[in-house]
Order: sequence, then C-alpha cells, then structure tokens
Amino acid sequence: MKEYSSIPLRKFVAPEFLFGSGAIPMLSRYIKNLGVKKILLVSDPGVMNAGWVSVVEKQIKDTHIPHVLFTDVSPNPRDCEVMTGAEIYQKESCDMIVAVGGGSPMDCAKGIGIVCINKSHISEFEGVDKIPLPGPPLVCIPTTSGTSADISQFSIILDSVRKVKMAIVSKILVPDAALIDPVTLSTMDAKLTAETGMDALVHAFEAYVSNASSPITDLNALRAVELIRKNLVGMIKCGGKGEEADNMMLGSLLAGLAFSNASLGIVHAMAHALGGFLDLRHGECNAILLEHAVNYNYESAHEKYNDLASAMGIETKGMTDSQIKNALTESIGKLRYDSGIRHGFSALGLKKDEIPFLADYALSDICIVTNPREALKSEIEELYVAAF
Amino acid sequence: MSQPSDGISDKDSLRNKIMGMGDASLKKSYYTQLQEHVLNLEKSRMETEESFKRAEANKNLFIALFHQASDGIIVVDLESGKFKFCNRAFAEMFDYNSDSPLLSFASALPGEDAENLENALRKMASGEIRFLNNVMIHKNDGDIIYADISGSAVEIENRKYVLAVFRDMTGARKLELEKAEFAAKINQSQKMEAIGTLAGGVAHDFNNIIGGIMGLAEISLDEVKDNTDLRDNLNQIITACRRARDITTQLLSITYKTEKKYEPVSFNGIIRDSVILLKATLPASVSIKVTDNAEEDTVLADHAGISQIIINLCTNSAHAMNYSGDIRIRTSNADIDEYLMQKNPELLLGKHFLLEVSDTGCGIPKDIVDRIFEPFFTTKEKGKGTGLGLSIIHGIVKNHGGVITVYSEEGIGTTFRIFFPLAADRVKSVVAEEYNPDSVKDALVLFVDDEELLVKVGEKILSNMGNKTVSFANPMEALAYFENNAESIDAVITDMAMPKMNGLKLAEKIHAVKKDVPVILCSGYSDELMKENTDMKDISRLIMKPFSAGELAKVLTEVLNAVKKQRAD
Ligand SMILES: Nc1ncnc2c1ncn2[C@@H]1O[C@H](COP(=O)(O)OP(=O)(O)O)[C@@H](O)[C@H]1O
Ligand SMILES: [Fe+2]
Ligand SMILES: [Mg+2]
Repeated sequence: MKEYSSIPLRKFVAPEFLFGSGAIPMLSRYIKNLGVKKILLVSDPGVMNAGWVSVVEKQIKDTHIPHVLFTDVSPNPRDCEVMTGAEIYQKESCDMIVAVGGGSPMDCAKGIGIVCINKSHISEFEGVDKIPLPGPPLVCIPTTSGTSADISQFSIILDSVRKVKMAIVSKILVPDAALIDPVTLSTMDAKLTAETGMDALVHAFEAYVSNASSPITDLNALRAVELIRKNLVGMIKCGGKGEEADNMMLGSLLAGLAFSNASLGIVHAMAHALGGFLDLRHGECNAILLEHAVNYNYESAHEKYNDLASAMGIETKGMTDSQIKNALTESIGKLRYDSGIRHGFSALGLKKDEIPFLADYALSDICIVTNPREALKSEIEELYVAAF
Repeated sequence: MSQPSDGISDKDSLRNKIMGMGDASLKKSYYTQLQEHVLNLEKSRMETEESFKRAEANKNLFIALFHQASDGIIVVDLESGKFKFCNRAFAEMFDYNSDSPLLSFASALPGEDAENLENALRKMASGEIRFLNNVMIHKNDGDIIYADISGSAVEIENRKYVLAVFRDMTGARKLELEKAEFAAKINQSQKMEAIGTLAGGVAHDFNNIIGGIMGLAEISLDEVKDNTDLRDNLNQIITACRRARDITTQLLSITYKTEKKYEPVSFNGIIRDSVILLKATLPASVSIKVTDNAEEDTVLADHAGISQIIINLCTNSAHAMNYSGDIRIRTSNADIDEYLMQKNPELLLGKHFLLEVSDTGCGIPKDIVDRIFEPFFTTKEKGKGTGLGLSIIHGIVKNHGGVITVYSEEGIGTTFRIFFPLAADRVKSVVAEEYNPDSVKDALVLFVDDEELLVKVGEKILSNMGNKTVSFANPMEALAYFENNAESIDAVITDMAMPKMNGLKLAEKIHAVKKDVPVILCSGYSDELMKENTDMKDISRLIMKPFSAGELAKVLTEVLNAVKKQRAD
C-alpha cells in the first residue's frame, strides 16, 4: 500500500446540462420546477435578429410566467450594461434569469445575478472566489459553438473606465442548467463560426497544458481538439448545419468543461488585454495568438503539446520535439487560415507603442496564473510583436 | 510580478482557488440563504407573537378603561344603526341586562327618540355638530333621562362609525331645579319681609294719626261734660279709634318686631283653649279633631299670637270647606336636620314643635299659592275677607323664629305646617303695665314732637291733668329753651323719630345741662329702639304711641314720684 497517491487532488464542477436536439423546449420545465414569479431574459441584438429570443420567449410564455427582456449587451459586455440589467431585474421584481446567446449575454447575465443578490457594484467581485452570495437561478442557452460560458465558472466583464477586462471567477457563477442544442448554430455566419471555433480550440489547448489540469479535464480537452480540428472548416462550409455543426457544439462543450475546471493560459491573458484596451473580438485575438503561444510554451510542457499534436492529426512517432513543435504550430496556423482568419493585429488597428501597456494588463490577468511557463513582460511584448 | 516570492505565493493560492480548492470555492447553493431566511421568518413570527400579546394586553386595558368610564360610550354603525361597542355605563343608563344585549337605539328607546338620536349622531359623524346639551331621552320603561352627548366619526377596519359619549345629567339637572326652587323660596321670604316692613311703616303713620284723633276726642270729652249727645259721639270716636289702633297693632306684628311678651307656654294648652272658642263660633257641621303627638310642647311664645294663629287657620279652613267637614290639627316634634334646612332656607337646626292644620277644602290654586301670605291678598268677596289673616300668622310665626309652609292640592285640601323652635332664651321686651295711681299735678313739662297734632294732644292731656306744658315741634328750639330754663322744667317728654335730632340725642343734651331731669321717650315704631346697641341711659321711661291720656298720666306720675323720692334720699 502506497503512503500517498501520485494523482494530485482535483475538483470537477459542471452544471446540469442537456445536450442535443430539443434542449430549448425543456426550458419551460425548468421554469415550472423552480416555481419562480418573473423572469429576466438576457440576450443581445444579434441573437434577437437570428430569431432565438422569440424561440425562447415562446417557451417562457407557455409557462404563463411573466418575463422582461434585456438586450442592451455589447460583444464585450460592459460593467454599465450589467448594472442596467440589474436595475431592471430589481425594478421588475424578477427572481430568475434566462440567458440566450453567445458569451456576451451569458457573462452579462451572470454579472446581473450576483449584483442583484449581493447589492454591490459588479467590480466588487473581480478576482477568484469574491462573490459572497449566489445569484438567482440561471439557465443558459448557448447559440455559438465556442465561449462555453453556459457551463463555466467565468464571467468576463469590461471595466469601461479602466478599459480592462475584469475576470470574475467563482464556482458560484456556474449556471443552474445549460440547454445546449446544436440547432442554434444554424444562424451563425462564417466569421463568427471561425472565431468561436478557434476560441474553443484555444480553450482545449490552454486547459490541457494548464498547470491546474487533471485527468478528467485532459480527457475532455483532447477530445475537444480532435472534434474541432475535424469539423471547423467543414461547418463553415455547410453554414452551421449538419453533422459538423453537431460535432463543433460537442467540441465546444468538452473544451468548456476542460477549461472551466483547469483554467486557461497566456493566450487568454493577452486576448483579454486586447479586448479590454481595443475592444477587439475575443475569438479573433485568440486565433491569432495561439500558434505563437504554443511556440513560446512548448518547452515547458512538451509532452502535453505532443499529445495535442496527435490530436491535431500529426503523426508524431519518430519526430523530435522541435519537429513536433513546428508541425503543431503549422497545423494551428493552417486551421486558422482555412477558417478565414488570415491577418495579424496590425490589421486590427493595434499600434506598436501600445504593446507595453497590453503586456502589463496581460501579466495581471488571472489566466496567466495557470500558464505552464511563467512569462516575463518582455516575452509577452515579443509575443504581441510576433503576432503583429 | 516584480517581487517573485510574493508573486509565487499569490499565484499558488490563486491557482488553488481556480481549481476549486480554496476555502470559499463552493458550488452555487442557496442553503445558507434559505437558512437565514427561515431564521428571519422564525424571528418575525416570534416578534409578531410578541406584538400580538402586547396588543392583547393593551386591548384588555382599554376594554377595562372603556367599561370603567362613568360616562356611557358607544360606537355605532350609522348605516345599519347597530351598536358595535357599548360600555357598561351606557348599558346601565338604559337599564340593559346581559340577557338581552343592546343592539341599537331602536332596541333601547321608543321609536321617535331612537330616530332623533341617530340623526344627531349622524350630524356629529359629519362634523356638523360636536355636542348636544341636556338631551331629553325617554326610556322604554317611561322614565326620562337627560344627557350631554358628544360624538365624532371613527374608522375601524376601513368602515365608518360614530363614537359617542353620553353623560347622564339627570341628577345634576334635578339638583339645578332644586337650587332654583330654593332661590325662589328665599325670594319669596324677602318679598314677605319687604311687604311687612312697608305695612309696618304705614301702620306707624296711622298710629300717629289715630293717636291724634283719639287724644283730641278725649280732651273734648272732658270739655263737654254736660252735652250728653256730644259725649256719646266722642265716646264712639274713641271706641272706633281703639279698634283702628288694634288693627294697626296687628299690622305692626307683620313687621316681626312688635313688642310682645314671650313666655314659656304649653302649646297644646293654647290649642285646647282655642278649639273651645272655635267650636263656639263655627257651625256644628265643622268638626275639629286634634291629634297630639308632641312629647314636648313648651315653646317660648306670645299666648295671644299662638291662639290667633290657630283661630285664623281654622277660620280659613272652615271657609274653604264651605263650613262643612273635618279640620285636623296634629302636633308633633320635628328634628330639623341639614337636609330639611337645605330644602327650606328659613328653618333653623334643632328640635321643633310642629303644628299641622289640615282641611278637605277647595285647596289653593298653584298660581296664587305664593301670594297668600301677602297682606290684603284675598280671594274672598268684599266684606268676607281682609287678606290679613295669613300675613298676620306669617308675622307671628316669624317673630317666634318659626317657619310656616303650605301644601295644597286643588279640590282635595290644604295643610299648613308651622315649625316652632322648642325652648330658647329670649329677652323679655319692655311693656307698659296698666294700673291707676293718682296723677301728678302742677308740674312743668317740656313736650317735643315733630308732629304738630301730637304736640297739641300732649299739651291737652297734660293740662287736663293739671300740669303746665312748654311744647316744641323742633327739638333744637326745645333744647335752646331748656338751656335757659333748666331749673323750672320738671320733666321732658320727647318723640323718638324727629328730623335734625332724635329723642335719644335730645335726652343726652338735656342731661348735659341738668342731670336729674326725667326724660320720657315716645315711639310709634319700635324698630329703632330695639337695636341691641341702642343706649337708653338718658331715658327714664318708654311709652308706645298711640298712648291714651291715662297711660301718659300714669307714666309721668311714676317718673316724677321716682325723682322726688331720689331727691329726698
Ligand atoms: N285652608 C285654606 N284653604 C283654601 N284656601 C285658603 C286656605 N287658607 C287661606 N286660603 C287662601 O289664602 C287667602 C288669604 O288668606 P287670609 O290671609 O287668611 O285672608 P282672607 O281669609 O281674609 O282671605 C284666602 O283668601 C284663600 O284664598
Ligand atoms: Fe475564451
Ligand atoms: Mg282669613
């Protein structure tokens, strides 16, 4: 009998989730079971135009329980939007939140919930485990195959004054239920599909090499990489329908389960800095940064990266580490290029002299904590330059 | 990240928490909130229970206060007319017992009163009026109560009611009426006194006039010794004058202060004597029954006055019964306590002899009963009544410190009640005694009276006696004469009431000139002499007007003999 197990102690948290066709109609059952009186439905204009808001509203109406709709949410949700939503929630005496959409409305919905119950400004909760009381019942319906906010313990809110993305991390933020139906992907355009798909791929990569990873997160991460690699380009071609879309939704879910428990790394830290400072799109930033980060991190977690290379379809047998590293970064670059993201940050308006500020922000981002290699400011700056 | 060591420990703990291994890395759970909520519910339940208990205690306190109040309090639903609350005092006011609860005014009062009260309360609820004083309310049993009512609108559980307070004024009102009655009695007795004083004043003047007539008639009688016709006429004048004098003397008795002899008498004895006299004068159809219940009957009284009371009362009764029926005389002893005294302000505390004279006659109508004691008030036809009987009785009773009351019911009869105080010390008045010594002669008398007629009378009487007179109508002139002729004057006779200087003052001045000259004071009206502080040191004798020649001669003779005796000693 061994004195201690070599397996480190880990926790795995996930909400109750329904995955598959017909998940959305289950909403009314959740509402009824919770016995609530009024619902705040959070979404954004894009999701509304795609028609998913009215699909959800129909489900709510079937329960005869009243609801209020709140859709003033930007792609990078802002603190003031959270507070406005909280005000509506309280004024209307709501006691439940339903979020439908991508990461933005879901992160915003998480923020509204904790603000209402704890009666504090959203910025009070920045950091890890800073939320005293859980928010009201929250059911999330994702409409993208990428962010996985519907199952994660993260909420990323833009501090509109400091121009910083605040990461709010707590198990309390994990929603009560996620209703995941791949049918919602049918309305995504190619650009959004590429960006969210690449975001999901980064989730899987960063979770797998994270210093907080565990066998369970690893399992999900590797499978996610495989699914995304095989289906992303095909899904873009099919316009979000069919088997590829189903697989992408599953890949995104698995990547989400992995990163929600193992957290992320330097790519998200640098992407958050860009999103806060320049309001750039999260998935796009991740897609541009990933191959450079793998190149930078490789030595610190080469075995894990080798696993990822295999998952990316690379025959690594007989290859040296540096060969594998090159093949891996190349395959990532190819996937990015094939999915339509073919530019660097200069094309997105980044200026060279802004890089030191960004590096500072990235260093103080929560995601940097679980990166396998401890980064210096200069190294981060170099990475930005490399992706310029 | 500039300080690696800090950074590392910071990073480690952050990583730990991200992995869910931090102290507060808990999944979403409402349990703590629920627990807190349940605790709060329990707390508020206990608070509610506590405040309920307090409310209950308050309620009991206010119910006790509500029922303790001596005023009647009700809360009425004006729409239905039903009572919501009604306190004990209110229930008692309307003789309600707990077997048949008071439900509304309609159940407590006759229809009209109930309706009036409801209307009044409605006005109070609307603020039109705030209170009503002395509202007369008939009760179902026929009794009447008077109440002061105040009221205002109240809202109980979102419903409008009127809250009204009834103060029972029945007792207070009765007291007020009794007070008014009492005041009226005092008024009446003051009126009687005023009338008496007036009558006395008139009697005084009459006495002077009669004295003049009588004196001159007597003088004339002496001068017409041979003419028998004239003598007869003059004798008739004198007789008439005597009768007139008797009446004025009676009138004077109304003024309460005539000179009468008060001595301990047996009241029952006087009643016996008077009844014998009455039976002789009244027809046989009138019977007089005497019931004697008085253990004590000794009263300090004037015998003649008491007898007059009985005779006058019985005569009135006989007349009232048309000279056919029973007159009842009852005597008893009555103790006057404070209660009786309050009811009758004239009574005095202590033991009294009570004389009651009742008849079954016509009775006295209510509207004149207050006037029967007035002099000259009569309901009898001319010649049959003088209206003096009762006023004389009233005066006599007053003089004895007693009280007379009358109770009469028309068609049924009348009872007079007279209270006399039993045994009390009284000063005996000065009264001239009648006897016949030889009259004094050859004396010089200074006669002073402001009434010319009386001066003449005095001069004649004295000269008829064989004396000489110097007379003055003016006391100042009389004094001046005396100062110059003091040695020759043997006696002074002066009137009491004179302008400029009264008889007493004149006597004092005369004695300042010469000490042993006797002064005789004449008075027709004794009031001023009877005042306690009246100083009689300069007066040898008092003689009441009108006096006869004989009386004056007697007094003068006595006075001069006394001086002679004194000088001889
Ligand atoms: N016993 C009585 N019954 C009825 N009336 C009486 C009685 N005594 C007195 N009166 C009334 O009082 C009035 C005054 O009485 P009084 O003073 O004796 O005068 P007079 O007898 O001369 O009328 C009488 O006229 C009579 O109206
Ligand atoms: Fe992400
Ligand atoms: Mg008479």
